[in-house]
Amino acid sequence: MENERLTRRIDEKALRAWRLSGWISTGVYAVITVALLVVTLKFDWPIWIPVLVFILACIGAYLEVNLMPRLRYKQWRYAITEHEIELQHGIYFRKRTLIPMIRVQHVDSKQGPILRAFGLATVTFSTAAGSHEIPALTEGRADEVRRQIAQLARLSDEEI
Amino acid sequence: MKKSEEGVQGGKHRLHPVSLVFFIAKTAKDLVYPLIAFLVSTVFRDGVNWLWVAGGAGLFLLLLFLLAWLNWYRFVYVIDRGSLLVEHGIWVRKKVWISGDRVQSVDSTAGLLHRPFGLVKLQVETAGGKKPEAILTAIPIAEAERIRLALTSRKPGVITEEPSMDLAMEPNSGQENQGEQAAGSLTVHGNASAARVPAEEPIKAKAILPMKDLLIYSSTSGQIGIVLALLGTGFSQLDNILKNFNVWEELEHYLGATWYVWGAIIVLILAWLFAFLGTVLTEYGFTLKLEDDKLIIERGLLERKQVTISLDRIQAIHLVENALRRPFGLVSVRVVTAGYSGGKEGQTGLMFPIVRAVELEGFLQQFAPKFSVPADWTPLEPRALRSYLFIPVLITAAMAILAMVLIPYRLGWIAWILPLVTACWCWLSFKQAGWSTGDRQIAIRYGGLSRQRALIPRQRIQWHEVTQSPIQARRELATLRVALTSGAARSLFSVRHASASAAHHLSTWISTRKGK
Repeated sequence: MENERLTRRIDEKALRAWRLSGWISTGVYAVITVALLVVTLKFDWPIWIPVLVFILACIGAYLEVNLMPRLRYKQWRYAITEHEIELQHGIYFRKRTLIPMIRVQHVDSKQGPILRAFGLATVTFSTAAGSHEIPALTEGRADEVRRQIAQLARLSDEEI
Repeated sequence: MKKSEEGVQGGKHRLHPVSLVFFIAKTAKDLVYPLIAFLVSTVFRDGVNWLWVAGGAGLFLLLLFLLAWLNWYRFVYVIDRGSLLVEHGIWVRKKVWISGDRVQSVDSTAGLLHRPFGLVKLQVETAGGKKPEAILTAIPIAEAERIRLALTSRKPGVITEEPSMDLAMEPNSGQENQGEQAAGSLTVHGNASAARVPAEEPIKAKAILPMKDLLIYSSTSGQIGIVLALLGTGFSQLDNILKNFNVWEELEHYLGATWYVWGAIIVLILAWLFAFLGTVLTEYGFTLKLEDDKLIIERGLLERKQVTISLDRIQAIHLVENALRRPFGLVSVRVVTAGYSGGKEGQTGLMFPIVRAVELEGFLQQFAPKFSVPADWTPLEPRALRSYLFIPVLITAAMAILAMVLIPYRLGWIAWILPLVTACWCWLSFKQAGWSTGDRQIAIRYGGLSRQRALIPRQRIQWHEVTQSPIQARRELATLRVALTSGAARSLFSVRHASASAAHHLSTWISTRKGK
């Protein structure tokens, strides 16, 4: 699956952004676990319920804070050439997607609050058969990609 | 008709007055909530004042009719230089421009209400959005034909001539409509289209589904599953009512202790009959015509539907041989387009219900010459079989073991049929899977008991993807997926567990563009 053309990686700050969102989920899990513990003690529920939830929360936190962001970052590669956009990603299933430039109908970039805090943006390419995205690029790079695609897509304009 | 044209200038047209019925129905739907509020506040009260109720009902009807009429009055459309402009709405004026270049399909439907007046409902679809972009609920057949021609003729010469052609046609369109209403519709349809269709649009090829094939198609359609599902939901509703009566005991009394066996058989036969009749009604008189560079499909007994698809809008041809038809070499030819679909998500549109396998090549040659059925297919490599079997058999075997533990009297052994059947099915899927690359077309074959083949022109592929799981990576296998546009939904075709090198070879083959 390795491909020498796939040179670009997503921005390193993405790792921190994903970790942050992982920590936020962890906070939510913690609140749920504590609430459950309080309710359990108050109403004499079996103790294994909060214990189980605590274990699940720990696993979830580990996955979201550490493992997933790391793997996701490691697996993501992309390349934008004159004729096509090539994406490679996927933690279990490794996907390599090719989108011919002439098939791109429009390009969006969007930012959630976490990505904005890190100055990152997600770029989405829409085709007539669904859309694909590159999850985290610096704002400057996202604009550049968007402009590049807009220009290339105009060059190779063709009917659907 | 004449009256309705008055006061509309600049080539603007209104719908036929019959469409008022549809506007009334639509408005009534919108007014349901005020009506309920009105009913609750007046009728369900002590001391009902019937004068109020009658007055309210009268007012409601008046309002309904007035709103419907206003909706109808404000609904106008214009055909101009091969594009369609629709203006509608009472408070909020909406204008929809549809350029002929972007039209994916033009459908017309003649329902029971339309047919006595020689009218049709016309739907124009483009690639975007789920709903048809423009729906003209009732217009004369000849007018529909005119719109269809204006929107679907894509010869450069024709497009430039369009405005003058339109002008020339405008005056007679009114007269002809009147004549048509007097003369009765269906006979005139032929004349009208003969008059409309210029000499440059000859019918190049035509195929009509013979009665025998219609019956074969209807009796082997997989619709029985849908009917059963419908019956199931209907039954669960019915059961609530029947609970109060001792229906089941009565049934047992009449049919004996094995009533449920008989019941199941009767339900199955009824479901099959419903499916059969339903399919006969919708596909009756299936006619496929190639006119200029457009395919025209007509079908239906009570509700006659006509669909027009340009040949260059066909994204792929999908050949389906279901399990019942495959032994007899009967193929359903379906098309993937952005506008016309089978109704359900992910389904392809029917192009012709039954073509015999030996005649298939000739059929495609005649109606869709850009597509050809490849003779040589590349099958999968034997090592892919393990990937096909592994997960389904594992899951079903686990279920069988569970069944052995849970079901008493050693009856659990019967559950081993499940993994066995699954294994057979997986083996069939493995045997079916294959691909073939031609000059400009990639063909993908898949299926289990049924056989499906997709003929996909390379330049129609929107994007493609090679996927590899760790297990596949170890066995050097990969899955190739290609995506085509098909309305709001995408349609995906895949070759599962091809050898990794072949998948990459195909991937590069797809991305190479000749003449660039």
